[in-house]
Amino acid sequence: MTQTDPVPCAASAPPGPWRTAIRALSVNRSAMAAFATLLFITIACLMAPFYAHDIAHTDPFTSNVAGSFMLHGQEIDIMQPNDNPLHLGLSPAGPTWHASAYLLGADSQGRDVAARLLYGGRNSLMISFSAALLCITMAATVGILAGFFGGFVDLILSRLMDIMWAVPVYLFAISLSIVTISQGLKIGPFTIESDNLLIPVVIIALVYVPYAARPIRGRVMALRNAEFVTAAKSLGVPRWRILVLDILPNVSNTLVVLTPLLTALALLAESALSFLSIGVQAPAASWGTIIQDGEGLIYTRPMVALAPGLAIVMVVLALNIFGDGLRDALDVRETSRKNA
Amino acid sequence: MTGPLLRAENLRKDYKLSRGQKLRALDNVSFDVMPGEVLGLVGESGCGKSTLGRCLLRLTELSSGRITFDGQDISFLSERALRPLRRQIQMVFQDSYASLNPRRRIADLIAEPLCVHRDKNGCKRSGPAIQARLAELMNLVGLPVSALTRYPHEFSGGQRQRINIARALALAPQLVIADEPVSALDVSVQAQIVNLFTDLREQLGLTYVFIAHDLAVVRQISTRVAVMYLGAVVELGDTDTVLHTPAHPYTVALISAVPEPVIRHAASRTLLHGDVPSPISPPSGCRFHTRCPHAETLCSAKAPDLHLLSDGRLVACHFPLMENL
Repeated sequence: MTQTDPVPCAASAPPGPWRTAIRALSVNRSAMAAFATLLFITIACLMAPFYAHDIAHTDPFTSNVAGSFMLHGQEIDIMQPNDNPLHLGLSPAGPTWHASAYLLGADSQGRDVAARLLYGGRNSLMISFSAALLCITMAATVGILAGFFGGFVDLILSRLMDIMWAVPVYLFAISLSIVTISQGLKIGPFTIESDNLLIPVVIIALVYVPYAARPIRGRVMALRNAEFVTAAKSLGVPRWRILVLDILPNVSNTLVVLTPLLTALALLAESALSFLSIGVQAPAASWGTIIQDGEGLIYTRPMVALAPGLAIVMVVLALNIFGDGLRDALDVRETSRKNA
Repeated sequence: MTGPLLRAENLRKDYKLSRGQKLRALDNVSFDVMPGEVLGLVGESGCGKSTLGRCLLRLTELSSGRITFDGQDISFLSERALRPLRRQIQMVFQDSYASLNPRRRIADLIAEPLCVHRDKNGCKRSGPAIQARLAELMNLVGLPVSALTRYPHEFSGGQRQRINIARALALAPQLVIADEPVSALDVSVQAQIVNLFTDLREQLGLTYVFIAHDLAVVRQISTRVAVMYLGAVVELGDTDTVLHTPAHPYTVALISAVPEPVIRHAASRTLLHGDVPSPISPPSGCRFHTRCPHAETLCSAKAPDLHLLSDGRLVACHFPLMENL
């Protein structure tokens, strides 16, 4: 037997590609900071009912224009006369910066903006994340089928994607929303009411399918011609087994990298639709609907529109930074080179 | 005398290009591979060696011709019908990293053929049987059993090529097609892998089709050599005969192009001028006549057939170099 160069031997159990990626991600500071931000915002939004009932003691879904609240032992009207010389008109209370009452002030209906921000965040994040998952599932199906089988299947699916992508995303989403919001959605025996949150989820997922399917298809086409797939063929491995064991594990990192980016896009789309009143329907809130509420108060009470706006910016930024970190961490060769 | 293990007859492979052009990657390639021999395929880049290797395994579809393995015509069998034969013919690829799925452990990679094919009794292999076979294979290719739990990127090129060889040998094939298995390796590692191929052939009674562009490697491992030029075999014979007394002018040029540490006969060096003609519009007559130092008018008019010389080799030349005979 010929002699062998020594096998690199360190720990007893070598880490798998996923664990290597998580390790690489955990030392990436900006990605971790982004992840912490996302985690914080998500947890805060999930705590919305707790905040509304036990800290702020308000109901953020009923208008309260005649009410008042206590701050430092003083009773303050929610609707206050404007501070112009003639005291014409009323403005909602501004930010108190006290978590116990109207932290970020009230909106034009006298509702606690802070509580609505958390409830709205819950809807916005839930819709955008579900839409991203649904979108990536559909895109993966389309991309993998088109890329792996090629030929006629690819021709049909790719042209379909091209046609969808030729319509501007927002125009497409707005058109679909207007139709479904007015009529609800009937799929066979199932009817989805027009105020169901599933409607924006499905619409947003659908319009971004071509965006995600294209890189997936490209990756699968490259993999289909990879030498290890040829090697598997030469071993007599059946096609479905090549798809499951050789193609899928290697596309999975593309899917994982695309998910946070799609979540960010979905959040923007959701906010836009809700801002236009064709996303989340009143009295439910989302960051988009709160911005719409704040639009009329932009000069007197800018915080109403600013707070959800900043929340969207932070989440989108964090998702993009986290997505970049994921992409770097999941490059198998890259990380192995760094370790070497 | 038993028949050939693998017989290739008039293999032809055309790639359709745009505007109705055709690229003839293989042109009338015929040869036999006898059981137990090592057929070296040599030629410069782009001469069709790798296409030929892939066609023999049916990884690339032939345009026409016939491939017979162990008496059975496999040239146009369906993928399903071909599957039982896959265990008999295996391939080792040039790029040892690209030919291993980076997301699977070595154990899974080598066990793949064992999982896909049933054993001799037609049963699915059990876990312990696979484990035992894996240990045996690792021992055969000179890797420690502990390597089985690792991933491909943790190994050097030479080690990865050992893993590829282990995978190719998992089903105990009769024929291994090695497509430039050592070209991407360091010279010292090349020698180890070539020695491994030689040892394995002796131990397991394997037959190889060994594709290479390095004549030194081919000289060391092959029993017979086929020299290819522009998609066709120009000379085929025993390694010693072909490499010591080449009869085709292209073989002469190929041999004299091998860099030598000590210049022994600088005067006799044959240098070719010009580039390899395009396989889209190959030259008329003998495809080598545009660069051949001995070309005559006949050469550009009529293509020479591969014919037998008195010493048992085949050569496709109107004027084989007789002084060598």
